[in-house]
Amino acid sequence: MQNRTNIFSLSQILKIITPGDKILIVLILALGIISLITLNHVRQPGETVTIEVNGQALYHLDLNTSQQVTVTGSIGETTIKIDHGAARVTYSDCPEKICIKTGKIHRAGQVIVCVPNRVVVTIEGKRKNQFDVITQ
Amino acid sequence: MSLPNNQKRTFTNSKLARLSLLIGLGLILFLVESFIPRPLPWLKPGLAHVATLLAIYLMSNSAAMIVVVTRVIVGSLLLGSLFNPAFMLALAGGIAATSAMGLVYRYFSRTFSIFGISILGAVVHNLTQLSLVALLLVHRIETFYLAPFMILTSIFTGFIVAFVSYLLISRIRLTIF
Repeated sequence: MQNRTNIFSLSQILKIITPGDKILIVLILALGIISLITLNHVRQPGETVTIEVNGQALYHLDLNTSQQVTVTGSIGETTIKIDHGAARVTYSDCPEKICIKTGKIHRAGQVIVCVPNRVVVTIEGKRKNQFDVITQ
Repeated sequence: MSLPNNQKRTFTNSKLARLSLLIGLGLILFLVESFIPRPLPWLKPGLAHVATLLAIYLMSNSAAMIVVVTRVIVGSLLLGSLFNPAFMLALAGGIAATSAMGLVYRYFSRTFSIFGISILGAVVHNLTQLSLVALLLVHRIETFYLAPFMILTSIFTGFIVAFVSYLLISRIRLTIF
């Protein structure tokens, strides 16, 4: 660093980035976008809510009926509230409250996971292979 | 136990000091980062990997592995999350990312700069953790719906980590290492 080049400058960074880097970034970007599109495509509107504790499904509830359920997991209680076609965790005994911060879920395949309490709330759609139309 | 004179000492005082410095750096970044509130639980810049990258570039791959494992264990001890699922995920993600970055640096360092290596490390770190959550903790394939968002944010966070590491490497190399 004898010369006084400004190493914060964009042109300096562009000098370091190799063609291999650019290819890698484009590939990862493509992977991300393709997986985003495919996963959103398979995703269906939610129909039912499944609540699992310690890997065992305890409840299968209708997403369109407003209700509130409290389950007891590994370290305490978790309260799941369903209203207006969406489910969310309103109370949890876990330390980090990630499940509460996840917020509302309403589409098939969306999940709320409380890792410390071993509670998994999943939205499920109708059974799979429900194609609108098949073109050839 | 005395070492034979002709045997090369692999763990010199200088190496120990440099390793400790990098572990300390990783720990501080790891702890500071865990106090920053995050909008989404899985979104984290992963600044602690600055120490990993420094270890790979300035020391060796084995040094980087020591830095990561020690950093995760001591960091979890300080945060009070030792041996819980978050600790296991951090350890697994760290080891996988470090292996990937170390191998790419050793064999493809002409093809990829620190930016490519860091972004690759971020993607490997995230996907390892996501797979572990899906396979071991929650047993749900739906967990992978997060994958696209993690992959896309990895590019950004990996870039930031690489930038910080690059600034540090270009200055530290002249003085300590």
